[in-house]
Amino acid sequence: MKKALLASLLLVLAGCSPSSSHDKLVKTLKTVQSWTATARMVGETWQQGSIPDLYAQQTLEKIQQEIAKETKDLTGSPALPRQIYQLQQTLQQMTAAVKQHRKAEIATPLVQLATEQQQLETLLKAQGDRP
Amino acid sequence: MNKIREIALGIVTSIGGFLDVGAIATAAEAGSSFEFQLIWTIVLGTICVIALVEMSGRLAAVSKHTLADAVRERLGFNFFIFPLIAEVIVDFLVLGAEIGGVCIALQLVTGISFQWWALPVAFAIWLLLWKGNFSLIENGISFLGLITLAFVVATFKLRPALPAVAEGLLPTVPQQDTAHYLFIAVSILGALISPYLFYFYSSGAVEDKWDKSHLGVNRAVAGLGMGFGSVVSLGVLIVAAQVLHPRGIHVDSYEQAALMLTQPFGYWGFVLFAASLGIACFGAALEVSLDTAYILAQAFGWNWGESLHPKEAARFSFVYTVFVFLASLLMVVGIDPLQLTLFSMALTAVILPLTIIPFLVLMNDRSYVGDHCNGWISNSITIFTIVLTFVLAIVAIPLEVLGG
Repeated sequence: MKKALLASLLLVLAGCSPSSSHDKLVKTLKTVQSWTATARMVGETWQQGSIPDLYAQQTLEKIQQEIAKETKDLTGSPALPRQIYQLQQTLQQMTAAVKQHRKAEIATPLVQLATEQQQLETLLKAQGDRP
Repeated sequence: MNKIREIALGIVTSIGGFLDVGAIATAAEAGSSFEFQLIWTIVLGTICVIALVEMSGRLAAVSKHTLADAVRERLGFNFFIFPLIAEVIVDFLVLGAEIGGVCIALQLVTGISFQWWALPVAFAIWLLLWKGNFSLIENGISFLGLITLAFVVATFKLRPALPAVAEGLLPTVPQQDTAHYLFIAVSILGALISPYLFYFYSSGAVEDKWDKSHLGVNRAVAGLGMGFGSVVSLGVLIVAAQVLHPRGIHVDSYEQAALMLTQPFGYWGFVLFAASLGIACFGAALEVSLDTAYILAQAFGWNWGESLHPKEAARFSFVYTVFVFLASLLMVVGIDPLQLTLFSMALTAVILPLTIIPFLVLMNDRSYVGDHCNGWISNSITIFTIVLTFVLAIVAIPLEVLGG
């Protein structure tokens, strides 16, 4: 009885866990996309004066760390490392604008971030459509 | 007139004290990831919690026993040791998460990392427990907790599509991210049906010297207080669904959740989120610390009572003193508060059957509740909750691995 239970539990685990590199890539992309969306909202709300400078700066720095951590061992999409690099550059520009409290300077990286978010979405869609 | 005042006070404190770190984290994650689809779990959990809180209060009012006392006496220490150990372990993790919630709120406002706040927050909790009395903790902090109604106001301001919200009342399973969906469902139920709530509520009823004349107050506080309280949880879920979900933000950290009130309230939304998180978690941290001291003191027959001077209940005071500082160390070492919250909510689900099964025995035992035994509705809800908690206990850890 115990063995049967254990076996079925293992089967469920094996069946549901993101075992393939494709599944892992999709999971990573979703996380990166969520952090990118967060960065965009942080940038926009900071521009409107709805959040404190320190919170905006620390959150943007955290987002860079999270994206770096998430994409450290990423394989499976040749275009992705370049996209992530661009994304990190944009986030750095946003952080610099917040640090210097120059609200006008965040507008350009925000537009750039929106484009990058779109690209990630397209990539995710393409990965999601794959069998 | 006095009873009406007691009912009003009880309802207000239940609303103000309903939200804690688990409810905020799980509802925010549910709304941001699955829009309105998990509303049914909050409604289901609330029905169970109303019934069980009412029973805890009825048991205390009629038998003058706290839940822990009654379980130990009726089912024996050899049985009670299991829920006791389980509850102490879960309380420890939940307390760490609640302290983490307060620390994150302070980090949001000051920019100083949450780890640095852990010991000062623990000291503040301990000081209030040491110097304060039960009434101050029950009423004072819960009154401050009314600030969490900001989520309800935000819900009205955001005008969600009512048919979509109503659809969330029906349980559905999505085709994508099923494991994560089920994990969040289990965590929401774990956060709502908190064992500490039942032990704490019955201990509070004994501290407040409830008798049979309080049965009406108990029913009103449990039903209306918990019912309205859950509206705040629904508010968090709906606001997250309206503000974060359309932008593609899934809450993986409190920094993301902190943005959810900025859309309806601007800068004050950020302040309100931090204040709600901080006050709700501070109140819950006081309750969890007391709960641990209550159940240990009641298990071993020590003097207990928050309204007693620490000298008169030395071991009781010693327990919460040690417990608060040990739990704060979880934050000092830098454990992620949100991950700890979700993990402790899933673990809460695992231990639930041990807490809920005794209700069925005690609430049908005339030597404890006399003529106020459970009717068929209460028994049906208890049996349903027991079955539900068994399912949750079995699936919680595998889902934590797969979807957490």
